[in-house]
Amino acid sequence: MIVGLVVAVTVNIIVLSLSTRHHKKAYVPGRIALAIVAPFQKAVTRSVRFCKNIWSHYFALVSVTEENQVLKELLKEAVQKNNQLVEVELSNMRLRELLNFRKNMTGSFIAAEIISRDPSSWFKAVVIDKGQADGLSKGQPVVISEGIVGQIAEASAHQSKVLLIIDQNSAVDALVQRTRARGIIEGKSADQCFLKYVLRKHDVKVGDAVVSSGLDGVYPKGLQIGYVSGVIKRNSGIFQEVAVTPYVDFEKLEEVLVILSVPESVSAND
Amino acid sequence: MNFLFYMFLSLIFVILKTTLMPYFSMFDQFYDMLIPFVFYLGLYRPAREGIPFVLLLGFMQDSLSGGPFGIFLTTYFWMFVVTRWFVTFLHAGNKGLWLIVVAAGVLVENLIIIATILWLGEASELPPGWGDRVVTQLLWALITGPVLIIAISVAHRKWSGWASRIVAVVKEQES
Repeated sequence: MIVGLVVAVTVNIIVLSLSTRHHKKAYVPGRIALAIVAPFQKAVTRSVRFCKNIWSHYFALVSVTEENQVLKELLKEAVQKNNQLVEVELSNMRLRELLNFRKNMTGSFIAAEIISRDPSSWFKAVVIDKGQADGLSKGQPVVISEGIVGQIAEASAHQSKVLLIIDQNSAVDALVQRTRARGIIEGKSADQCFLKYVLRKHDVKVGDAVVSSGLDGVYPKGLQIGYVSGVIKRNSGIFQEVAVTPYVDFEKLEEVLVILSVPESVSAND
Repeated sequence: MNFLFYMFLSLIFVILKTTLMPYFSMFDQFYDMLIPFVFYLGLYRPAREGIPFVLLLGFMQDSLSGGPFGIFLTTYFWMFVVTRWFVTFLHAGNKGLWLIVVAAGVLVENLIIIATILWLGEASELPPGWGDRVVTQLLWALITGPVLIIAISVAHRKWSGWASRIVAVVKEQES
């Protein structure tokens, strides 16, 4: 028994030492076993991985969905903020223009915002957010950097109605800048006025600038009104018909300046 | 409560017409949105309730408009009176009436404005494109007028129900 045990241990040690010396040699039976077992191992391993992936992906998808929702919300907020900033930027540009315009003008002004438009498409008036409490009164001229907008037709405590120069009831004493031909600007439609009572003998060409003459006692002299967009000389009559396109885009009007007082130097006499 | 509803609704219409709609060019030639409301008052509300409010509406519109003061007052008042007169021999619930009533109102308002411009104002002629303006307004009125009257009617019913519930709750709490 003891002898058998000693022999077995010895053989075992010899085999171990032999296999240790030649452990890099591949044995055919080993390869066969590997070839048979490996596909199963592979299949099982893949199955486990597949299940593991499904499991992890499911949770990942849930978290991705949640993350997606959060990102969508953030994007919405960013777009909204971007729109606000664009609006602020545009408003800033408009106000800067008004400010520059104001610097170039003398007299006292007040800026106002348009809060509503005429309820009827027949008349052209807007309501601004400044009134008598801010020093506004009927007849004060309203302008922007592009040119004349209109005049205060009515002023309440905190709002005023502005009659635009494109309204048919509006009239502005005006000059053709190049030739000093005089006439009266009257409103006709949303994008046109007419310079009336211009004598036929006066030279008026398409493209000529039309400015206020200062003789009507409302608008200071030299404010831009528009440019001549058409001249019709009929066979009879002492006047020619002059169409004027205003510089002001009344559809996009948002902020305006009301001229509270005009210095004495800026009058019809200069 | 009714007066509150009228105030609320007219305010919505006025704000729509003067503040929101100008941002959309397709509504440039939209008709006066208070016309369906005036007709609604004329068709379904008593004169003692309608007339003061119609005058108030006219006053409000005239105050906002650049036109001669009184155009809207005149228009609304006579619209209301004529509607009241019509319902003495026409059934007010007649839905066929709704189809044309707003368009008729728009036409009347435009005629009053045209007459004012030509005969009472200083203008010797109408502004260019006035015909297109009137036709466009009439088309809008034919398409949306009945819808607006129905909407006003439904809103008023809901408001009345809601108001009566509130009154009942208040009375219950008092007792």
